[in-house]
Amino acid sequence: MKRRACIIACLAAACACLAPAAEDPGKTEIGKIRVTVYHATDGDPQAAGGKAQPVSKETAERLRREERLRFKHYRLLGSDTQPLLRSYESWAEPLKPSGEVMVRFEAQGQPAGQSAMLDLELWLARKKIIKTDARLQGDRPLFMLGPEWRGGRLIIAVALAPESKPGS
Amino acid sequence: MNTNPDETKLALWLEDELKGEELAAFEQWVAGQPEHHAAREEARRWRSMMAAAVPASEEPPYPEFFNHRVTRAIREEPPVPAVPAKRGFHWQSFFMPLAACAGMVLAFWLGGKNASLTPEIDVAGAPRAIPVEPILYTPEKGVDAEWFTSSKASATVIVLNGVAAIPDATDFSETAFLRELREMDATAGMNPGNQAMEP
Repeated sequence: MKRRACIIACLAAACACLAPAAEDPGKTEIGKIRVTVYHATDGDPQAAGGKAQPVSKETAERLRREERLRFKHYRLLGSDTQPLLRSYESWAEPLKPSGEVMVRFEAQGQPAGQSAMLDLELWLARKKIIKTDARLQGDRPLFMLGPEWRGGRLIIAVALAPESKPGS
Repeated sequence: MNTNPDETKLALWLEDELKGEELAAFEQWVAGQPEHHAAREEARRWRSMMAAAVPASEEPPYPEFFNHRVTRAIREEPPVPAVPAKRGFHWQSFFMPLAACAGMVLAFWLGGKNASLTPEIDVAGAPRAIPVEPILYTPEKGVDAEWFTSSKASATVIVLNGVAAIPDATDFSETAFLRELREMDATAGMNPGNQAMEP
C-alpha cells in the first residue's frame, strides 16, 4: 500500500515537471510592444484632465519636429505594454478600462535585433479604424494621429519596448 | 402499253449512237416529232463546231526526241541503293547526350550561383535599401489614412482623416491607466531614467 502511494506521488511529480514543457510554443514571448496615447493640443493642456501628465522634453521636441504632429502641448493619457507572442495576437489597452483606444498586434515574423514586423490594427470606440503592417525599430516608433478630443487630437504611439533589465 | 422510248435511247439517238433495229424503231417513233429532229440537228452542229475547234488528238512536239530521252533515262537509272545497315558505335552517339547533360549541369550551376547572390527577403529583416510601404486598410466609411516616414521625428507616421471625434464628455482622467513612476522605471524605456515610458 505504501509503495502504491509512492508510485502515484512520483507520477504526479513527473507530470508537474513535464507540464511547462507541454505548453503551447506559440505563446512564447518574442518581444514587447508599448502603446502610448498622448493628447496634443494648441489650446489649454489642462483639458486633458488632472491625471494626464506632461511628456518629457525629448518626446515633445521629437513630435514637434514633424510638422503634422506639431502642437503646443502634449499630455500623456495612458500607456500599456503587452507581450508580442510567436503565434497569437495581443491587445494593448492604453486607456484601460475604457476601451476607447485599443491596438491589436501580431508578429509577422521573428523580430530581428531591434526590428519587428507587425500586423497591426487600431480600434477606436470598439471599431476597427485601420489595419496595416508596421515595421517597428528600437528607435523608430509608429505615430498615429488619431481622433479629435477636447480641442486637440490623440496621438497613438506604438513602439518596441526594451526588455526589462534583470534586477531593475 | 407504253410505246414511248426512254430518255436513254433519246439521248443516244441525238448523239447518233443508235444502230440497227433500235435506230429503225426509234426513227419510226420520232418521225412525227419535229422538235426532236431539230434538237438532233442542233446537237450535230454543236459537235461539228467543237471538232473544228479542238483537235481529236495532238501529238507531242518532237515525239522521237521525247521518247529517246525517256528511254535513256530508264536505261541510265542507277540501281536502287541498298538500305544502309544500322551504323555501329560512333563517337557522335555518346557525344550529343553528354553535351546535353553538361549544358544542363552548367545551367543549374549558373542558376544556383545567381540565386545565392540574390539577397533573401525575410519579413523580419528586409533589406534596408528597399522601401517597404505598408498597405493601409480603413474599413470605416469616410476614414482615410496617409502613411509617411518622418526623418525629422525618426518615426513612421500615419495620419488618420475622417475619424469621428471622441465626445468631450469622455473623461480619460478617470479611466487612464497610468502607472506610478517607479513602475515606469522598472519597465525601462528607450531613454532609461528619463520618462522611460514614452517611445
